[in-house]
Amino acid sequence: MSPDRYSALAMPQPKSPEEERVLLDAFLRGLEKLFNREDNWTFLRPLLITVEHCVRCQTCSEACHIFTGSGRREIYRPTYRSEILRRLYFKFIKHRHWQGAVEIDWKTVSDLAELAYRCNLCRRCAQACPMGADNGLVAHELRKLFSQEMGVAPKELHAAGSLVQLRTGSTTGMNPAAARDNFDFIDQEMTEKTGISVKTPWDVEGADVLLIHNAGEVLSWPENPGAFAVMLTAAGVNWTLSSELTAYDAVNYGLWYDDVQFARVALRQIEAARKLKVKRIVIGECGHAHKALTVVADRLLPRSLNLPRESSMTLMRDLVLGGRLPVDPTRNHFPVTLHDPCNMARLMGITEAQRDVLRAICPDIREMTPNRTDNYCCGGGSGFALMSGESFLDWRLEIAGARKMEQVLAAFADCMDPSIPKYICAPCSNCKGQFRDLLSHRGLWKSNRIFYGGLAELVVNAMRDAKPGFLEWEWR
Amino acid sequence: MNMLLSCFAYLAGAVFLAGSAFRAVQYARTPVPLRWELYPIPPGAAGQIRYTLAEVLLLRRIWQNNRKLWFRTYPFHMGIYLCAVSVASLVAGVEWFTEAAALAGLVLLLAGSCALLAARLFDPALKPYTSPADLFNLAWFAVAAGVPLAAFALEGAAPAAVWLAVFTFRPAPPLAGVGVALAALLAAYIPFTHMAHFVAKYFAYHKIRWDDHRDPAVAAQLLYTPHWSAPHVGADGRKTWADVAMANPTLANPAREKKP
Repeated sequence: MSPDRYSALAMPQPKSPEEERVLLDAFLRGLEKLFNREDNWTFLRPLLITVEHCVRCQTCSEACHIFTGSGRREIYRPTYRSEILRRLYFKFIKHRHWQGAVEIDWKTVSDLAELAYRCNLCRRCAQACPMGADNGLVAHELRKLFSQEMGVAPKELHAAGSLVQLRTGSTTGMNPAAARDNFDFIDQEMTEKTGISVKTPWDVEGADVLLIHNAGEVLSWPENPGAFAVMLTAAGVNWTLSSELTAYDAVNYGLWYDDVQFARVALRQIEAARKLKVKRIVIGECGHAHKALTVVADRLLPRSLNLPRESSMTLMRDLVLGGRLPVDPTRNHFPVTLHDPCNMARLMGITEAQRDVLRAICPDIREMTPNRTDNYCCGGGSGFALMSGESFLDWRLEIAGARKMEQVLAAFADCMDPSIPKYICAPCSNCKGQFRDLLSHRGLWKSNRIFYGGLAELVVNAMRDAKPGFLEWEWR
Repeated sequence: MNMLLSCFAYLAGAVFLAGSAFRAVQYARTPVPLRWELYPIPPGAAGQIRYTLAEVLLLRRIWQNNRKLWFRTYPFHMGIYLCAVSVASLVAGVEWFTEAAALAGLVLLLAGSCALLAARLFDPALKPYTSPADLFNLAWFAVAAGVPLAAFALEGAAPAAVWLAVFTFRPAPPLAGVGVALAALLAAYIPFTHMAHFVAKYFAYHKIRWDDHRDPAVAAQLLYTPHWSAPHVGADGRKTWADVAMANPTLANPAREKKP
C-alpha cells in the first residue's frame, strides 16, 4: 500500500489486528525516541524547532522541485508529511489535542514511511522558510525512526548498502583486493589514453592527500577516478588511496536514513586516515560524501580524529589555477552546463571552486537558472539514484527529475542540434546516476547528443600534457 | 478594579518575558546537534545582522517566496511592531508619535489578523493544515486589536492614553479596559505557543543553520544511552552512543546483513 502508485519500501501489510497493533506500538515507541534527548541528541534541536514552529504557511511549497514537478500534488507538499508528524507529536508526546486531528493506524504509518522517501532532502524548502523550519529534516528524521526502531529502510540503502559497506569495505561489495585490481586496470587504461604513466599509490604513510572516491565510480564511470589519478600524477601531488575497510569508498548512506550507520562509516573512514598519518583527506566527486565526512561528522570526531578534510573541487582549482596542470581550453570546445550538487552547494556553500576550474578549461559555459545555492536537486538525491523499488524509478524520472531536466534543456536551448555535443558537468556520483537515467529515459543522448560526466574528466580532456581526446562521448 | 487591571497588565508583561526566557532556556538546553548548515550564510556579524533585520522588518523570505501571504502577514507583523514601539515610546514621552503608532498598529493588526483568518478558513492550500488553535489565536489577535479601536470610536479612549492610564494605576473606560485585559492575556499566552517563533528563530539560525563550530558539549552527549530497537543498532540499554557507533555488528554477525 502506498499513498501514490510508487513504492520505495514495499512494507508488507499486517495480516491481522494483532500484527497491526505490534507495528503501531513499535512506531509509537520510535516516535517517543525521536523526541528523546538520549536517543536522538543528533538532531533533536532542529526537529523540535520545526515541529513546534512551522506555521504551515506553505511558503516552502513552490521551492520544492518535487511538489511543483508533480503538478502540485498535495501529498508531495513539503508540509504534508511534516503536518502528520506534527499532529502525532502534539497528540502522543505533548498530549495536546487542539493542534489538529490525527488517527494512527496502519495506513498512516505506511504512508509516512513511503512519504519519507518522496523527498530528496535537498532542503530547498528550508531555505525558503521564514520560520527557520526544516521540512527536509522531517523526512530525514522519519527515515531514522523507521530504520533505527523498526528496521525498515530501502534495501538499496541498508541491506545492500551500508551493511555491505561495513562488512566488505564498499557498498559495491568490492573488497580491498578487488578494489586494487580494478584500479590496476584503470591505471593501465589511463596510461594508454593519456600517455601519462599512472600508478595509483596505496596505503602510503604520511602522504599529503588521502583521496577517497565514491567506489561506484570505479564500476560505473572508471574514467573519473582515472582522471583524478592522471591529474594528481601529472601535478606531482603526494597522494594515496587506503585499502582499509570503508576507506576506499567515500559513500555514507547512513547520512540519508540512519545516524548509527552514518557514524560507524564516518568514524572508520577518518580512523583509516589517522592510521596512515596523511596530512589531509580529499573527497572525490561525491556530494553526499562531501557533506557526510566534512560537515555532519565534524562534531562526532574527537580531537585526535579531527583531520583536515577538503573537497576535490578546491584541490582541482588549486592545481589548475596554480599552473600545475597546464590546460588548453579549446579542447573543450563544446557547450557545458554545470549542475550544483545540493550537498556541495546549498548544504556546504561550495559553489565557486568548480566554476573557477570550468572558466579556465571551457570556453562555452551556460549557467542553469537558478544555480549555486538556489539550484534544483537532480531528483536523485538522498539515495534515490540508487533505488528502483516498485515503479520508484518512474517516479524519480518523471516527477523528482522534472525541474532539473527543464533547466538542462533551457541551458542548451540554442544548441539542441545533434551535430553539437553538449556536456552536463555533474561533479557527484549520485547526480551522474540520475542524469544517466534521465537522459536515457528521454532519449536526449540519442536525439540531441546531451552527455553527462564529472569535472575531473573535463580537466584531463583539456590537459596539454595528456593526449587529446580523453572524453570519448560513448554512452554508458 | 483599575488597580486590578493594572496589576494584571504588569503580571502579563512579566509572564511574557519569563515565558519567552523559559522557551529560550528550553531550546538552549537541547543537546548540541550534528552540524546542519544551510547556505548562503551571511558573512560576518554585520552580514548576519543585515539578514536578520531584513527578515524581521521586511519579512523578506515571504516577500520572495509567497507574495500573496506577504500582503496579509506584513500588516499583521507591522501592527504588532507598531504597538510595541508605541508602548516603548510611552516611556520616552513622545506623545504625538505614541498615539499615532498605537492607532496605526491596531488598525494594521486588525486588518492583518482578519486577512490571515480568512486565508486560514478559505485558502485551499492552508485550510487542511489549519488547526483549531490557529483559528483561535488569530481570532484573539483580531478581537484584541478590534476592541481598543471600538473603545476609541465609542468611548473616545485613545489607545496609548489608555495604556498609560493602566501603567500608572489610573482608571480606564470600561470597553478600553476590556481591550487591555485581552491584550495582556494574549501577551502572557504567546510564549507558550508556536507564536514564540521570535525565540526559536534565534536557535534555528544562529545555533543550527549558521553554526559550523565544533562544540565540546558533544563529548558528554556521546555518553548518552540510546534505546533504539532495530537489531543492526545493537543498543542494549547499557551501551553508550559512542559504544554503538564504534561497534561493527556486521563483522561479528554477518548473518544480520540479510535481515530487512
